[in-house]
Amino acid sequence: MKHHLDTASGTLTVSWPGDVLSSNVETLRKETQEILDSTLIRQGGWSVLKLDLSAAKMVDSAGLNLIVSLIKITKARGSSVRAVVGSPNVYRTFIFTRLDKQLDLAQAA
Amino acid sequence: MDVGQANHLAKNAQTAVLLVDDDAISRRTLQKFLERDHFQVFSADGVDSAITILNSSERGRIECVVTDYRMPEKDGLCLLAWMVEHNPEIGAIMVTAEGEKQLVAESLRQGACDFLEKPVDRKVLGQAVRKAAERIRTARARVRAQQDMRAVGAVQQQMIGMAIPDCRVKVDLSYHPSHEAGGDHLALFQLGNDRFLVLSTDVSGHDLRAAYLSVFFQGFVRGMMHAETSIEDILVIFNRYLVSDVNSISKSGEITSVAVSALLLDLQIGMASTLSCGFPLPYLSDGSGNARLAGESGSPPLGWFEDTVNHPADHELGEKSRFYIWTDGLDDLAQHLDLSPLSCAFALLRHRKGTPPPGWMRHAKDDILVASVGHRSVISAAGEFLPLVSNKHPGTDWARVDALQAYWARSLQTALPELDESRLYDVLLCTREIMLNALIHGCGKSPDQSATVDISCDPAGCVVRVVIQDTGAGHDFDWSAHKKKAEESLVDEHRGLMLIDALASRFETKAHGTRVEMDFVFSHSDRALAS
Repeated sequence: MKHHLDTASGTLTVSWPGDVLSSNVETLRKETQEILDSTLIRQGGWSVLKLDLSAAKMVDSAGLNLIVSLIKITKARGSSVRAVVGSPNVYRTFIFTRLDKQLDLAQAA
Repeated sequence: MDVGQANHLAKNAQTAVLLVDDDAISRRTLQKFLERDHFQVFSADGVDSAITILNSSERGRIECVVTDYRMPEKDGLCLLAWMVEHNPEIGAIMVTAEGEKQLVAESLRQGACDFLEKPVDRKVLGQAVRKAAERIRTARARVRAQQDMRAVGAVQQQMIGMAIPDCRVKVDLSYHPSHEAGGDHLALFQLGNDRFLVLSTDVSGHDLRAAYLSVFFQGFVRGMMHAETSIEDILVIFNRYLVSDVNSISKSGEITSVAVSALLLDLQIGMASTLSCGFPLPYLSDGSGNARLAGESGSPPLGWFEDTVNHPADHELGEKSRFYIWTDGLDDLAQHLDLSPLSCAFALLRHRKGTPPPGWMRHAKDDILVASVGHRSVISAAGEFLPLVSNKHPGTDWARVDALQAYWARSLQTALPELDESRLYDVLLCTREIMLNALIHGCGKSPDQSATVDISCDPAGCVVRVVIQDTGAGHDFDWSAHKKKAEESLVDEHRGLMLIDALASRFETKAHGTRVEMDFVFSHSDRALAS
């Protein structure tokens, strides 16, 4: 899993490598948490968590629940979440489950 | 003269040879050699006159051409080139001067050819001609056998169609032979006003013997049926015949077997019974999205063992009941492609005759015969759901959900290639959600509990239906309240409910949540394609 901290814009980008499903959600949760907990990131002073989902062709309810828990963690520290999705089907999934009301949703170029 | 020589001379007398040489002395010498060995000899003084003879009525008789290489105007290579194009199965022997053989061999790019160097020895010439003639006889016999097989195969295909009379039972049939002839067959027998027998057979082997035995078996059954013998008794008698009479005298030790599926329908009392001997068990669809194997086990094919025919399994018939029957070639293909055989059967039964078969059929290694059998009045009626997937999974399969999803995807894409990619996504995502719920919560991940998934399609109404049922106790809870809670607040659960509610055209739970039904209507563009 890749991540990048842009200190100028205060954006922490976490790129998930593919689908976000019940079968890999615990791995993604663990690795994402490790990134958020790392000293460098904690001291980096980010204000936006950007989830790069452009490689995901499917996100199921377990994946959506992971995103919900990240929204909660991020909001608790006064930051916001942006999700960038590639697949139109995944985009629809965010709309249908009202997650677009809880985060800034964008389609990958 | 010994016996061997006498045999050679007798065979030689049946062999016609065309001798081509511009040199009259050389031609006469070779002709004498050949005639002394009792060959029938035609001779030509050049390529053009040789072609005239080969084009004449003698063409079918000549089995070997012996031609000189070096001739004025057109050489022996010109004649060989003509033969390769017009009469490739005739053997050829090129007579070359000393040192020319290599040169000629290199310039020949195709066509079988022997070489003889001058001066030609009589014995060597006779042997070469005999060898060439033998080769062509074998090749011609092979061609004749293939033509015979094709003719038998064509008759078989006609007979399969002819063996289905127009009656209250409708049989849809799709037959895809991968061999010229074989032992697959299906026939419908009317036993009374409301009683019918659908008999499918698959004889071991893909040759004339298999085709012959298949027809013999069909005739045997027809005759015994007229004598009002029950199908069970007929199968027992035929099994004994194969075991005791056919296989016991097989010199090669090869076992001849016949796989049989018998389906008896009694429309008056609404019952059916099935009997499978070495044949894949048929599926029974209720027309509303549920399909199950008709029976629990079959018996071995006829011809293997004495007295192994099982008793038939009985089934109640609903208004829209339909049986799906196929030969093991379809099971093998579906297993190879890792998808549902029902989806392959659906696609093959939809396939229009005279159009190329679906691309995935190129992986078929065996003949495939697939049929659906139902009551004529309800066939193709809107609202009838035809099965695409019907599988049972233990609770432990929750860990395999990615593989299950890939299997559903391949099956749906095979059966409904016109299904829009986004609608396919909806079906797969919702099926995954419900199946995980059934395996994890309904079955408690236990190997002793199971969940079934049935995916079906109503082609007339353009609807895909998914029915998932688990063996757990189930529990009642307010689905709409859970969904509302997930919509309004950031709870990290119940989001699957929101997904299904939004993506499925119909979503219904029954039996305390142990049975879930979902319908997915195709989009308008899919509808146009499907029609």
